[in-house]
Formats: sequence, structure tokens, C-alpha cells
Amino acid sequence: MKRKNILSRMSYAALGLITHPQDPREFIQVFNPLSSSHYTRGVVTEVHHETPDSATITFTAGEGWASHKAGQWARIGVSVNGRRLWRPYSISAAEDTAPSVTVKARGRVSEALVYGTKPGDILYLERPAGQFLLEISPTALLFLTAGSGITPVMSMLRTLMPRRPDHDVVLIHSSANQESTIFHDEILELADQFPGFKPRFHFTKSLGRLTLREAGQLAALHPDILERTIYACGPDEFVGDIEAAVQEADGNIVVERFDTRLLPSDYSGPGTLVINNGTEITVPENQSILEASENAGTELPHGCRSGVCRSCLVMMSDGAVKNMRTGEMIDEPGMIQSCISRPSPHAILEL
Amino acid sequence: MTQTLPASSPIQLTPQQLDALEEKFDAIHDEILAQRGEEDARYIRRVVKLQRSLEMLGRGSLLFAKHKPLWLLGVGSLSVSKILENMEIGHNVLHGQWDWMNDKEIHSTTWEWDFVTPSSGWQRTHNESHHVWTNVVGRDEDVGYNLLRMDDSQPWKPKHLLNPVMNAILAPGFEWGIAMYDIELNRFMTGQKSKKDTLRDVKRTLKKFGRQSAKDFVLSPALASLNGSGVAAIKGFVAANIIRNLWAHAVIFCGHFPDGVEVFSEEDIENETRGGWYVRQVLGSANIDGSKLMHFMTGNLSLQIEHHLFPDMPSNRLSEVAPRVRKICQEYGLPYNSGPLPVQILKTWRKVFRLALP
Repeated sequence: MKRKNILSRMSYAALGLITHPQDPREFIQVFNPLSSSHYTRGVVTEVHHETPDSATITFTAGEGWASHKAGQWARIGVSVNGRRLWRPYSISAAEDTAPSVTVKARGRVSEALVYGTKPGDILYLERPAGQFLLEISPTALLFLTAGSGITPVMSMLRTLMPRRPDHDVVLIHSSANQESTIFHDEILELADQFPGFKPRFHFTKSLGRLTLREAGQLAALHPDILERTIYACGPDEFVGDIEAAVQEADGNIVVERFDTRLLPSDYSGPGTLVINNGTEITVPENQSILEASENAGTELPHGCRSGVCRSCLVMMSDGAVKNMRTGEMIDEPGMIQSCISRPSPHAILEL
Repeated sequence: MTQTLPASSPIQLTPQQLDALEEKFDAIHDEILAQRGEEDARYIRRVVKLQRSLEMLGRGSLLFAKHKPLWLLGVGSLSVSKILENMEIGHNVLHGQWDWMNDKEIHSTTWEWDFVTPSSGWQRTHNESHHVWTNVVGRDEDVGYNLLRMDDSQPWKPKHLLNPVMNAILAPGFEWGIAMYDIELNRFMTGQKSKKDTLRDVKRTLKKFGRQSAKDFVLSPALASLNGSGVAAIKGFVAANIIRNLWAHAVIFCGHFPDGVEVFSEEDIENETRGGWYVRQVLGSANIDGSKLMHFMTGNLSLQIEHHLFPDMPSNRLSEVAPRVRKICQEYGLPYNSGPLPVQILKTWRKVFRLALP
């Protein structure tokens, strides 16, 4: 593996003498869409609709990708009306199989993935990451999931059950109803195949919300729950409640929360700017990020101060800004013009 | 004769008119920028793919340049590919016209072009000095590139007798001229640019110059010599570079130097509003009339007036806004300088000759 890397790096360097100033990979891209010196690219191989508003997208990844572990997530970038937008998605495929993500059509990126993706399309990828991982030792497990929280757990079940059929695994999955439940049939099939796997569905439309704030509610849910290693995944509130209850009862829990981002809004009052060295700057109304930072003693690169020359481009890693000239909102990580942008209402800059 | 605003200009707009003008141009700008989408992104990706394919075809053919048809094919496709790379792609990407795509593969902060001058230095002299201070003598050094006398307001010196000769040398060596110019030695001499920054730019330029020259004039011909095509390949690479330089020089000169284009003094732009800035862009630029193919091959710099009004507008949209810009200019009595390529080139050269004399 290492030798192959050195060889390919050497051949790129040699080719680069002729393709300068472009990287040879940009030329190879004409024939091979997976080739790029800027991104890890992927090609969609299959789109499988799980429910009317969700789909599993399987892809082949190019250079720079690393095989995923069950339970991990990866950031995926797609073009939405010409603009590259990124979201993190849990990987639903078993370990050592072709990577796939299962996406529910909520939000611009997810809608584009569910309704607009076809085999052959290009995906932009970042390496799998995340600490929601299977521990090898315990054999008594309990998965508590809600909504799309089932996706990383599905990867775990698909990986775990064939490998260790002796496991004693309980899954309690909460969702609106059967029709909206991703993997409903596959979960039942897995249970048929592996007697050690016992799934239970909790449909909130008929049974109401599953609340697990106290240890007592846990015991009522499953008798030996606190003797098991618990994995919880789902919306912030759902996971937070379970975690508090399990900790209160001295149980063993691993959790994955859905990414809670700074909520962007079309906003005109004072904004907050955070710079990666920890500096926090309040940006008054009618002031640009550039002006406010200078007033606060932080120098940012700049040129014409009128939005023409683009010398003031800085990396926004999170949050949102509003273009003061056009009113356009940018709520995705990327380069922004500090001289004509203001936080809306929060922006984090990487300098 | 060229004129300056406002004192000697025939165009006198009231502050109210300037504000109305500003609103109209802003409206076009914001409307088009809000429309940018999938189709524009597809356009630039296709141009990039076309350019890369042509470049591979050109370089590949020149490896077998001893065969005449392959020499011709090689020079042809490499010239076109270099022209596209510099103009429709490089110039426009480095302006940030495609930054909205949020794609590092086509972005002003990551793009390095197939031109001797490094992107970073050029972005400073071009995007900042030239586009913000368009045609303001003393602030926009693009007026003559410190080399030529291109306006009456520049004091005549005996060296300007060589104006036509200098321009004739500059044309085929345009990219080297621009590389020298972007180092801004004149600003270093007058103390406006630090020694450290100047040294950094000299180093960057030398490095780029070395790699660009090695690629086209040493390594590729060396590969070609394996089948006895070495000498023919050198000739081919030189030819393609010169063709690109001649074309770029012609297009760029037509953008600001034909007769009728105005030049400004620093006093002219005191208290300039955004409306005034728009007027200066119109008066300081000139268009080339032509077909779609012509606009494509000039990187849409044939629509220089529109490009100067809206430097961040994707180039593929400029021809669409041109009629609207022309109408606004008519309405306010602003001259809209446009003509066919031969006419604009002739007017440019006439000025180069005329200004050689006091």
C-alpha cells in the first residue's frame, strides 16, 4: 500500500513537469471522473429508494477515501443549483463493503441527494470520521434509535450480526409509522436470519413519543437494559434524555448526536464573529466583517473595500453571512468576501 | 482627443442622474447574480473540459511534430487551448466570477494559470489596481504598463519615440511583459512597495518562469526528440505561445486603448460615488463587436464595458446584459465605444504611433 503511494506520488510529480501549473490529476479527470487534486471524488453506482422520501446512495470513492468503520459518518458535497453544499451523513453500509449513505429528504442537500441523484453522478467526499463505534467485547447490546438515527446502527447491525451471530442484540427504534421507517423490512429479515437479534418498533403516530428522562422509564422499556451496552442515536433531545437517564443509573452508553449547526437566518441586527484563535467580535449593524475586525484590532487581508478585487477572501468554516450589497445569504462553509459580508447572525472564520 | 472627467468632459450628469444610473446598473448586476445556477456551472465545467482535451491533443501531437500535419494540429490546438485557459477560464476565474460555486477546483484562491506571471501578483495589479482605479493615471498602471505612452496626459519623454517598437516587441512576448509588470519594480523604486514584498514577487515569478519555460521549451521537446521530433516540437511550442500572446495582446489593448476611451486624473475621482465609478468604467473601456465564437475566444473580454461594470459576473452572462447596458448608456448620453476587431486594433495602433510624438 505504501509503496503504491510513493510510486503514484512520483509519477504525478514527473507528469506535473509537463502539466504545470495544473496537477496531472486535473487532466486525468477528463477520462476518469474520480481523479482530482482538490477533493476526494466519488461516483454514484446505485440509488435505492427506501421510503418515498429517503434513499440509499451507494458510491465508489477515489483517492483519499479510507474504508469506514460501522457507525461512522462522512461529509458529502453535492452541487445544488450550481453551488457546492456539504452535509455530514451516517454511512449505512456494512464494514468492508461499498460505502453507502441513507438520506432522508430534509433540507436542500438531502433533497438533491434523494430526488436528484442518479448512477454516474459525482459526489465530493471527506474521509469517514466519528467515534460512534462498535466495541468488540460485550455481547449484550441495546440500540436505541429515533428517525434517521437508525442509519449508523444499520451499518453496525449489518456488520455485527453475520460476524458474531452469538450476540444478544436488542433494537428499539422510534419513528412516525411503518411506511416512514427506513430499513423496516430489512430489519425484520435480519431478525429472521439471526435469532440473537430482537428488534422492536415504536411508532409515535399510534403510541406517542418515547420519553426516557428517568431511570425508571428505562427499566420499563426493557428489563435488563442496564446490563447491556447501550448505543443511542437520533435527534439531540432524544439522545440527551437517554444519556442523562443511563448515567444517572450508572449504565454504559455510547451516543451519537445529530450535528447541531449554528442556525443561519436572514438577519440584520448585531452579529457575532468568531475567529479560530478564539477571538469573538461583535459586528454592529451596518458594519462589515472587515471593518468590525479592524475596530477590534484583528487585521484581515483586504484590498479595495468595495467588493471588486476579492483580496479579502477568508475561509468561513461554519455559520452564515449576508452579502451587504446584494442581500445574498451564504450559509455553507467556503470563502467569503469580508469587506461586503456580515454575520447572519453567527460566522466562524478560519485564518 | 481623449478627455477627462469632470472638468473637460462633455458628459455632465447631475448627482440625481448618477444615483439613478447606479440603481439601474446595480439592478442588472443583482438580477443576474441571483440567477446564477446549475446551467452556468455546467458551462464553465464544459469549457474547462474542452480546454484540457485540446491541451492534451496539442501537446500529444507536438510530440510527433516532425510530421507536418501533426505539427499543424499540435500548434492549432495548443494555441486555442492556451487562449481559452488564459482568457475565458484563467482571467475570469481569477476575478472570482466562479467563486459562488464554492468549488476549489474552479476558484480564485486556488487557480494557477498557464501564463508566466503568477496568479497572485496578477490578481493584485489587475483586480485591485486596474479594476478599482480603472484608467486613473497614477493609480492604474495598466495605462501603458509603464512601458508605453498611451494617453496625452502622460508627459512625453524621448524614449516614447520607441512607442511603436516597444509595442511590437510587447505583443509576441505579452506574457513576459505582464510578468515583469506585475513585479511592480516602479512601485519598489518609489518606495510604495517594500523590499520584502518585491523580493517575494521576483522569486515567485522566476520560479513560475522557470517551470513554464522548462515545460514548453525543454522537457516536452526532449520527449519529442525520442522520435526525432525535437526541433520541430520546439518550433511548435514557440509558435503556440506566440500566437496566444499576439491574440491576448490584441484583445487586451482593444479593451482600453482605442481612440475615444477616456483617462482620468486623481482629482477627477475625488468624492466619486458608486454611480460615478460606473460612469468611469463605461468611459474607460471599449468593446469588440463580433460573433459568439469571437466573444468565446476573447474570454468575453470583447464585452469589456460590461466586464468592467460587473467584474464578478460570470463571463457567459455578459453578452446577455450588453443590450441593456447599451440602452442605459444611450439614455444618459454615455458613449458606448464598440467596433469590429480590425477597426479597434487599427485605432489602438494609431494611438501608439501618434503618442510617440509630443
